[in-house]
Amino acid sequence: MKTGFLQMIGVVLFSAVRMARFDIVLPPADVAPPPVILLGLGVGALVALGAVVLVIAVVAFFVIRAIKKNNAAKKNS
Amino acid sequence: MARNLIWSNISVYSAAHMLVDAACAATLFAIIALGREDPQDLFQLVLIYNVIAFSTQPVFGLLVDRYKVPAQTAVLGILLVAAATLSTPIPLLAAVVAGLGNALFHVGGGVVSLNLAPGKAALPGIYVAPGALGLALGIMIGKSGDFVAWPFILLLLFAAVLILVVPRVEIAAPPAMPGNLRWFEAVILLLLLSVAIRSMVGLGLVLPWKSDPLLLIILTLAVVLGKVLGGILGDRFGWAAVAVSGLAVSIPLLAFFAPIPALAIAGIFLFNLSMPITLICVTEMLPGKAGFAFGLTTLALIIGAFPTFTLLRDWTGQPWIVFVAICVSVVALYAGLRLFNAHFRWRLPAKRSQMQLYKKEEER
Repeated sequence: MKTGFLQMIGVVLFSAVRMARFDIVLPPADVAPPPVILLGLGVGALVALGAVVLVIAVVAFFVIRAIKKNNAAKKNS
Repeated sequence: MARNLIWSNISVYSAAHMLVDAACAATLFAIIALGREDPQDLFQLVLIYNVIAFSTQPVFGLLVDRYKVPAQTAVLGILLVAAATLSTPIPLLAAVVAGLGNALFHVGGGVVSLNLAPGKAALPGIYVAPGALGLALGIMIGKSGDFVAWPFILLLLFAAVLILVVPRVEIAAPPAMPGNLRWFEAVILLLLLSVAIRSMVGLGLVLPWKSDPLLLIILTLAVVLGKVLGGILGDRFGWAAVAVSGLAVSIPLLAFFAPIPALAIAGIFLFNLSMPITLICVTEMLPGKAGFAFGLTTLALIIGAFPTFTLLRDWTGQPWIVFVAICVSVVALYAGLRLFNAHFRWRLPAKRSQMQLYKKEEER
């Protein structure tokens, strides 16, 4: 099922209300997560950003090839 | 194109470029100085900002080329950067918005500067150069802890109004690409490889004296001057002569004399001469796609910068790595420019002697 933006906002609001009503306790904010998790997040962010750059680079290469083909077609016509 | 139109456009866009880069850098560094983020997180914020600012430019460039709206894109970029200066309470939002704004402005301004005097490297060089100055100023303001958003917003809005008021540049219809298309990708990839290596070396280089403010200012001015003069000298004496010799002479200065400020600054100046030449050359390879061409060079910059974001950073600063890397960059640049001149140069070369030769031929 597709989730619309408003539905998502609704879920977030509903969860917030539930947490307030049932006193769901969040982990204390001043306790740092284990170093392994931090390292994983850091490496993960780097890999994700690298993947974004890679995808754009691959697409750019295909655009260059398309421009070349277009030029070749213009020359032949 | 009328001289007035060229100079009014290039002055407005160059000044706006400095301002945009200053605002983005000041915003990011202010987040840390104002204590809204842990200093350790600055690295991630800067990384996110850089990836968005540099890697999205080919995409925006294609859109600008398609719809021919460079001025409007630059203005939209400026407005987003202004919005980012207000977003410091939400650091990630500030980094993302600043990155998008920066990318849009760069592409818009880039397309204008490349179309002011098509086939010349001088104007794109003048447009790009002040960015380094803006970046240095922005980092200084951001780190000082005295960052206030409204002066930046006022100046950015003023720049946006100037861009809207200044006479628009007509984007010429793309001519058919001459030459042997077999070398088409090779030329572009060789030039971009040279750009990527330049980026890696520029960021990885260890300059221990950089903490001295006066030397840092001189270093920044050397970068600016290198980019400005690279284009002007390249148009006058030939692109290959200026870019390749500049980069080649910078090899020993940067690889082995980096700890000596005077030699390293001279090296950085020579190192930057090739920047506007690679940009104009990639643009000449893609007629009618100036935005995409500009974006490709920034994409190469971020790809080249990636090793310096990882544990390889210490490694990229080693003298022998710098030596080998710039050598590879010189070879790639030389090969790219040779192939370009041999197969794809469809405008008259600007070199004086060659111009005289062409004149003589015309007279006959």
